[in-house]
Amino acid sequence: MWGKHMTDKSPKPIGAVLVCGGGVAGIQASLDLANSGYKVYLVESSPTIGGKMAQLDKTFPTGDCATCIISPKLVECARNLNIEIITLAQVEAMTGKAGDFTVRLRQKARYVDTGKCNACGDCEKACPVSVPDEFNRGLARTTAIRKVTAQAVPNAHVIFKRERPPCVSACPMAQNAQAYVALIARGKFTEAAEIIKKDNPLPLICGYVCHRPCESECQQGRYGDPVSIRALKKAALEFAEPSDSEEKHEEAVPLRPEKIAIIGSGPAGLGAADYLARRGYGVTIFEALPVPGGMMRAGIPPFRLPREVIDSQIRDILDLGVELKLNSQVGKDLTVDGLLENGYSAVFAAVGAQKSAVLDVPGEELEGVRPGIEFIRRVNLGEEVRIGGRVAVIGGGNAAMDIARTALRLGAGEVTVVYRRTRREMPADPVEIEEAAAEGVRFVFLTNPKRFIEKDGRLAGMECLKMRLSDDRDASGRRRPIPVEGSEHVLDFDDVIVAIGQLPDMSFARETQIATNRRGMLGVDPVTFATGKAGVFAGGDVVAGAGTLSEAVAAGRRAAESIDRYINGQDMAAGRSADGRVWTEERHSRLESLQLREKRRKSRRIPAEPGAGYSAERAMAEAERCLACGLCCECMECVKACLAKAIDHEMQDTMREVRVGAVVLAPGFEEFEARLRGEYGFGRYDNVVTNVQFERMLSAGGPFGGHLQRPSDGGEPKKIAFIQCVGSRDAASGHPYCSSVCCMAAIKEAVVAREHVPGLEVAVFYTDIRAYGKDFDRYYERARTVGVRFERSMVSRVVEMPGAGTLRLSYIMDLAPVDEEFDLVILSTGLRPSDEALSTARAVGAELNECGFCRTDEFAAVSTTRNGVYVAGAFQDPKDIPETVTQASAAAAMAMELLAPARGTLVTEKVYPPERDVTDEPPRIGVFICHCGINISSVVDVEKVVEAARTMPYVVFAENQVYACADNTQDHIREVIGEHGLNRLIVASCTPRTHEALFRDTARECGLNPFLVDMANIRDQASWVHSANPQGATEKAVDLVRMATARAARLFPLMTERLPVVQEALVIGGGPSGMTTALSLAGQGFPVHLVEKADRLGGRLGPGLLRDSLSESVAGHPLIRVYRSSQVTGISGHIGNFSSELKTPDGVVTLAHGVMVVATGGVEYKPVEYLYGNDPRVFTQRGLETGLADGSITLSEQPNIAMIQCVGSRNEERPFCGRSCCTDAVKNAIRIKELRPDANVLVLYRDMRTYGSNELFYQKAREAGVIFMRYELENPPEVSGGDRLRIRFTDPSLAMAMNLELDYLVLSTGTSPALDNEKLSELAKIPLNSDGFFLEAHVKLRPVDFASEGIFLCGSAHSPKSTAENMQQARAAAGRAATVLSRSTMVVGGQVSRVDVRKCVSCLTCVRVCPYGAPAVSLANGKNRVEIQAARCMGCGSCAAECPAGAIELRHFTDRQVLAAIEALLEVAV
Amino acid sequence: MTNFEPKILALCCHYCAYAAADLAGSMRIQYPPNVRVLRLPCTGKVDSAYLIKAFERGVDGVIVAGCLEGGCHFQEGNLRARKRVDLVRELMEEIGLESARLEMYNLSSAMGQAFADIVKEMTDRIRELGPNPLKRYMVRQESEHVSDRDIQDEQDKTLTGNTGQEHFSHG
Repeated sequence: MWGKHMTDKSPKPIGAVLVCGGGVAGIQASLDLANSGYKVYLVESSPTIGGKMAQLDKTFPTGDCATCIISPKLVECARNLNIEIITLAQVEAMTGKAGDFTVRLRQKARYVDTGKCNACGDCEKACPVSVPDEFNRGLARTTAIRKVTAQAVPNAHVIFKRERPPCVSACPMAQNAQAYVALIARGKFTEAAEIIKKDNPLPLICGYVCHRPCESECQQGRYGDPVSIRALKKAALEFAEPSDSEEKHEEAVPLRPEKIAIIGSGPAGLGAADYLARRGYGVTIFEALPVPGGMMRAGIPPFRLPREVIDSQIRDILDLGVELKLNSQVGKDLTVDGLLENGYSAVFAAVGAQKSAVLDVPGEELEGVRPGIEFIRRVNLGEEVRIGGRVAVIGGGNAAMDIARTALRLGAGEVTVVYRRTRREMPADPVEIEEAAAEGVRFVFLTNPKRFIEKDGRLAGMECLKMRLSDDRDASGRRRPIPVEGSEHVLDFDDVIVAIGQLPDMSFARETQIATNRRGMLGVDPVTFATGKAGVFAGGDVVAGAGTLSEAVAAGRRAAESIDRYINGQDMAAGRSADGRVWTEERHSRLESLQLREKRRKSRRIPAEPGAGYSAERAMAEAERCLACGLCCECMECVKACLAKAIDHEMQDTMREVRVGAVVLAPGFEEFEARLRGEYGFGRYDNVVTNVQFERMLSAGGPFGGHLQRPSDGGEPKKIAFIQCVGSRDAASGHPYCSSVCCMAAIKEAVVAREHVPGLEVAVFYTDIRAYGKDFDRYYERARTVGVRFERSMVSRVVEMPGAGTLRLSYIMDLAPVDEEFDLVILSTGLRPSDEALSTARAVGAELNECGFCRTDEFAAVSTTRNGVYVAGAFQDPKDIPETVTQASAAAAMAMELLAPARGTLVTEKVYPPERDVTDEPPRIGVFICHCGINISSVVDVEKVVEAARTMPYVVFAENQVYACADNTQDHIREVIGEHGLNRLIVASCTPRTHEALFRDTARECGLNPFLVDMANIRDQASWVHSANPQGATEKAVDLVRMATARAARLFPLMTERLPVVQEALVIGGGPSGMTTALSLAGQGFPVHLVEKADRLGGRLGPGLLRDSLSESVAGHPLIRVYRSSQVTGISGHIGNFSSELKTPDGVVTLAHGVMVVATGGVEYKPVEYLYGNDPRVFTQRGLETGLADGSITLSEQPNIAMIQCVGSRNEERPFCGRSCCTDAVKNAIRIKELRPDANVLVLYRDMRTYGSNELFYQKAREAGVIFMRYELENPPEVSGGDRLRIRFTDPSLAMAMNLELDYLVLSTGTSPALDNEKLSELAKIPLNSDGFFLEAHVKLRPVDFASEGIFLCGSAHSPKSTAENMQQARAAAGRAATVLSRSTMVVGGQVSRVDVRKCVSCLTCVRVCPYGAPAVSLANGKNRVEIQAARCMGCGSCAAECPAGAIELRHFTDRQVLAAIEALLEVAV
Repeated sequence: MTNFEPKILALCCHYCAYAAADLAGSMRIQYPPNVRVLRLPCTGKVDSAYLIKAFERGVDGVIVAGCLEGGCHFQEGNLRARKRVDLVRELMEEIGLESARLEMYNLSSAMGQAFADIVKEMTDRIRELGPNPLKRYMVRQESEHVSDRDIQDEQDKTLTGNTGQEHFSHG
């Protein structure tokens, strides 16, 4: 097992590692690897690193803010020269083998250049899109361009785009409806109108009469009413400021000599004319009628489209220089060929469909039967048309509606629409149908004329047939109508108007040979609209048959584009298709799920004022209903707003390849989709939220600013409930495993929520509380003590009480059903592998286990099935943050073992010029004041700050910069430093937290010590927070600059020095943990001293393969020196150079080592209860295992065996969980059932803590017939011996006492801390927790480090764990230790404390204060002397502030420097 | 004094309070412009002398803002700071300076709103209290005795000497 990675090494491994996933695991693995000499590609699929942890509020048990502790890690990653962060990227494929992989990555377009973006947020303010914020899980809204979180790394914006939204896809003109609707919602009517006009030459006409395909596709319409896009378009045009776009156009386009003839002034002709005129062509329109507009004017009645609208829109187009020739019928006065011969380069035929289709039934020629198109044309052109009393209109389209309504207006007494199908199949716009009906038009459905009846040479009636709809469908997808035999009947009408379709009048083409298609239309190429004759194009109804206005305009524009290409000799078809864009809804995506609530809430349209269209206010409200399906609407407002020119909507996804030696998968998890547990009402009830949403609700940076409130009404909840195991331990939903983290998360959330709302009642509904980790039980007990109610019951359903928004939970308590109401319900949703994780695993060839997580080896849990690919974090098995971080370091260690020969081969270190000695120079300060585009300068008077700076002491140079952080500004700053001999640099701009490193680097690049740089934060802490008070902000900015310069004058260069690192490790403890650490470090090439107090290696490991293989590997490793029967008796020194004294059988040995790993293990609890030691039938689980293995325990055919859990654990004396005992018991129970299927095995437990995939063993045991019953701490089982071994206990839920006779009793005992921990704690100055286990530096993020640098811990010395977990932690310690051992020297100094020996009175206050053991006491001349060890100092300055003698100073924050800044706060008048 | 605008010094720790102030900025939360933030690595570095000096110099109010208790990046620096703040408040009361002019707060880096609230609260409080009574005394003293330039020259001398010493005594 251990040799595997050594032998599989390729001869020349690549010294780089690909880390997939930028969550806390990926970050930790990257930092460990990069700090140990490997190049890291950190690939993250989202726009920022930080993962799920960045979404959390507080972390338990310390109450640390998650953001506080993770953000510095993010920044550290970003600054590390050897970590290349690749966001928005995914692994597509991988080839090669361990040691040399080639990985193909797809990087999605960000649309923002991270190099140029300075995260000022101007774009965000300009973005009109409003969508549910995924980061806040839909509890807040956000924009399409945004920074995902305030702490995002890279610190840059990103644009979220999806496919083209359905409304845009549906529009023949591809009008950007989402954009103009979004702009309208923000009241930006002018901008909206510009978007509309950009691709629509007849915008207002469309605003009146477009057939609204966009609204048919509108996703909001699937739930309720679609957004009233057409009415909004009209509103945008009405409320827009008058534009001057025509003037711009004239300047922009050079006129061209070519002339184009357009036949027909309908929408197609006008569309083409507009397009061509705007490109400089001379355009002439030939119109047969005396008025322009084609069917717009002739076909659409004025009550739907006012004539002045048509006139003004046509005027706009003619104003572009288009010539209009009325009364000019081509085919009669002119010919197409003639036009081409007479100087026209191309002809576009857009003659429309001017003839009515005929019914073809007897009597159609009778007086009183009229073709519809001719009828309405005559009316619309102002001819006098008379129509009688009872009028029938045949047909179901928009034309039929227009004709019916026109007939009414002409004085018809009664108008009936006769249609052969039902209302549902009518092609007319539903609104038109409604309006017609409202005006009194009657409808007769499923009726078709058979013949017209004559009387006196005139129409007297209409014989009709009843129709029925058959099951087969026609080309349009509608059911085909068929006549009902014998259903003839006569309807009496005075007039019948036939409006069943339109046909083109092909007379224009009479002399020109142009082919027609099967339907009698003009035949054209479907893509280019070119006819068979060169230079002749056609489009609109003449090609497509009666279509819609927008289709015709689109056709005109499409043909015009072809004409443009034709004239320029380009390929007319290139890059175009007849029909392309199809909207596909991303099913089940989180956004869709978040939008559900919104769809419900906004399902009803805002009605317009009757007859007048929308008011501006109502238009904005209606526009708000848009769901922003495409996310970004490409309105380009952000581009206009971005002064840094960082935005590029044309960016494309890119592919790249990287070569790496190993891969670490850390893709994290996704939460269970809570909607799938419908009984809890998530998605239906606003006050049912997931735990992630609840974290956001509690977070101070969350949607409610940390104020706990109900989403439904903002009210403060008084009573809340947590429902556990939603999507966990749930085989039915495909998640049979335990999600491991939800119990503690819920308990923490309960405790924190109570801090937010004093007196808040909290109930947690659970099955088992799995508080199995270090200090978990203590936290759980604390929650109970403060009043969190824990109910061991599963909630069967949640129902919202009408009106109040309160939720009624139904559950079973004491065998009886209970209903209880709560204000808010939190679902503890489980963890599952994300889709991205699965696709990455597939791409790199890592197999999955039965739960869908990454398959790993039991004793090397970070190794996947593919050699060279390791996994860390929740993708291996659900786990919490500390274990995730541990695994990350372990995975890093594995990669380092594999790639040991390549260490240091691909890393780079920046080389700076030698530093200029400025110590003897008087301060010469240069000040650069940043505008940050307009972020600072729009509030702060930058010029004034510059002037003020010039008068400040020692300032020899001051100027302003638009962007101080821009690349070219750095060049400039370096020049200025040289030119003016500056020796101090102040940049007044944003926060030093993100930008100090940059300016320090700039200083170093021109030989200035980095500690001579300071910043004044006049953006984040002035202009942004005082935007309404420019004067106050300016004064503040001046003060901040004055404080910075005063301090800067007193800054001095700080030297760092390099200390040699002893590249050897001391590992204390020879159990499985210590051996694993030793083997990992030795495998990486570092000599290891392994100290074991016993005379053999193996610790608590029982005899067996694992112990043997580990011991043999250790003993046989040339780089590991083992000291058996030895103990550490003295430790001194610091990281990089410790000196330890060992007492060995061969005498005292002194060792030098750079790091130390504490792996001293724990001891098994020896029970004093349950007759243990007094009755041979009672043994521990370990005793059972050994007894079964060596045959000392024999089982009868049907033995009665009971197991008691938590023996010596979770009690007052040892208030912690043994963690592995539940799983051990379950596995042993299964083993017994396998050996003796008829055995009666009973497990008595308090909570079954088979976390993660261990849950599967629990399930298996139950399936095998193992009985599980509960007992309570206050009422433990009673065991009696003698002839018969008996057990008596009470199951609290059944409230029934049981009395059983046993063959064997097995006690599950926990682990206690090793007895000599205390001694080692004193020797190494490393702390213990209250239980006696060693205390790590930080529970969450430094789980295997001690606060004192260079010392690490692992195994049971840290807390009780399984052997496999101990070994994993041991590898993590090796990974962490390697970050020290991999360097031959280490840099110390800089911002560290220093003791002035003349003032020091050796009171040792500093020794007590320092948490890092930095002050070292030595005896010199009979007097104690204290010195701060620079290598241990973390630079906090606590010692300096506490030193009673004032003998300690923290460099870079000396009293003189700080006081100078304080004094400068108030400018004193001279 | 009717239009009194106090000047308030805020000593903020790098990891939490200063980050919270930055967050208030990215969230564009508006608050009165009376506070000047001075960044320190940890509130554990806040020397009682800094607080006393600030008031002596004429600052109207001082905020000390550190990490949440239990969340200090340097273990217990914020707890030590609180003790010192309490001590200085006692001293202030003894000399007749309102101790309400000095306040210690704990906040996490996610608490941008809390930072703004703190500034607003302190600004209102100090407006109520009026100007630092020591200010009058100090200005008179300055104008009687030394010019700003003299102070600078004096400091310049010590600075140069000190710098050399720092450099040579290192290591």
